[in-house]
Amino acid sequence: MSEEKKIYCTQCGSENAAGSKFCVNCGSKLEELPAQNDTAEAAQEMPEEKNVYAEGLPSEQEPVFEKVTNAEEIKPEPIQGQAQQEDIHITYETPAQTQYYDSSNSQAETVSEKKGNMGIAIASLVCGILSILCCCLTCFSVVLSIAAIVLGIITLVNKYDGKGMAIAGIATGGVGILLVVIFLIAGTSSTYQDLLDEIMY
Amino acid sequence: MKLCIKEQEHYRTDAIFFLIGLVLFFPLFAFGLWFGHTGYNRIGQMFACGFQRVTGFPCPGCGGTRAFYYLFRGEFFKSFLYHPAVLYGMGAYLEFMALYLYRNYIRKTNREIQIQYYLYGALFVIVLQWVVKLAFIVARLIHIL
Repeated sequence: MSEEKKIYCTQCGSENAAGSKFCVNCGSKLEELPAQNDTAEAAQEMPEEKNVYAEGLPSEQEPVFEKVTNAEEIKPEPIQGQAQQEDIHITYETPAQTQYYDSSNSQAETVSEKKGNMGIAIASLVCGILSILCCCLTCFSVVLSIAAIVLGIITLVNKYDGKGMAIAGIATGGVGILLVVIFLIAGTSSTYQDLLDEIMY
Repeated sequence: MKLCIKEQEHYRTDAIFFLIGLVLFFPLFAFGLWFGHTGYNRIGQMFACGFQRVTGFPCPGCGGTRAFYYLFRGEFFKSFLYHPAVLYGMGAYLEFMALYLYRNYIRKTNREIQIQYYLYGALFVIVLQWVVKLAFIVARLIHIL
């Protein structure tokens, strides 16, 4: 087995090749860290303690951190918009290493917390339902369908509340437009009208 | 009576729907009563479905006018047969208004009513009745052919 040295990012915990200056995952400046063997040993010692950054842990349950960076000499530059963390590194691997971020300030959490505005999803679904109910009023139905689709897409793109309603709104809006298209094609097709007259009368 | 729509920078959806329901209550019932007694005979033909005339198949809203007419004439079963979503809509409207008043002014809780369940229910009823109507039409066509 090759004993290839690896270093770990103090910001996100990602594994990087030895000699790397910046983390391939988060782009922050890297410091020299011990090899993977140390990591495996430490993992055997502390297999249970994973969410070590959770606030409010009782003092007796606090995991043992091993200080592996020379943080006193050169402190890594903090990511913009992120609170300065303690320069400690946990020397065992966990499946969810992104939990090392400070959960209150990380950019990833900021994106996922963008909630509210359920009214847009509700409006999307209401427009979609009305568009399929009024599909014989072609222009009105097309306007409602487009509104349903646009509002649904806005909800999905901005990750607002009501994802299910947004999807239902987009679907009903699509069905509304489809019905209008069928209506227009059938209305302008003489072949279809002759066939219909033959069947019905 | 105090209506709380905006609560800590969060607009309550159920409060907005309740206000819309309050505004629509008298016009809707006045129109319904008029339509059920004289209006349908005068302007009922205006609501004939162009989609059914052109394609031969009913649209998802077909039968809604007649269902509305029979609802305000008190013939609920006929209304249900023509378009069950009309009866569903009226029931959901009355249930929502009563539930909102009960929660906010009798029980005095801040629990928000989940509007989406009413909408999902309406969508389900509309799609189901349309599929059933289409099935009847297709069966009739197969029988003719």
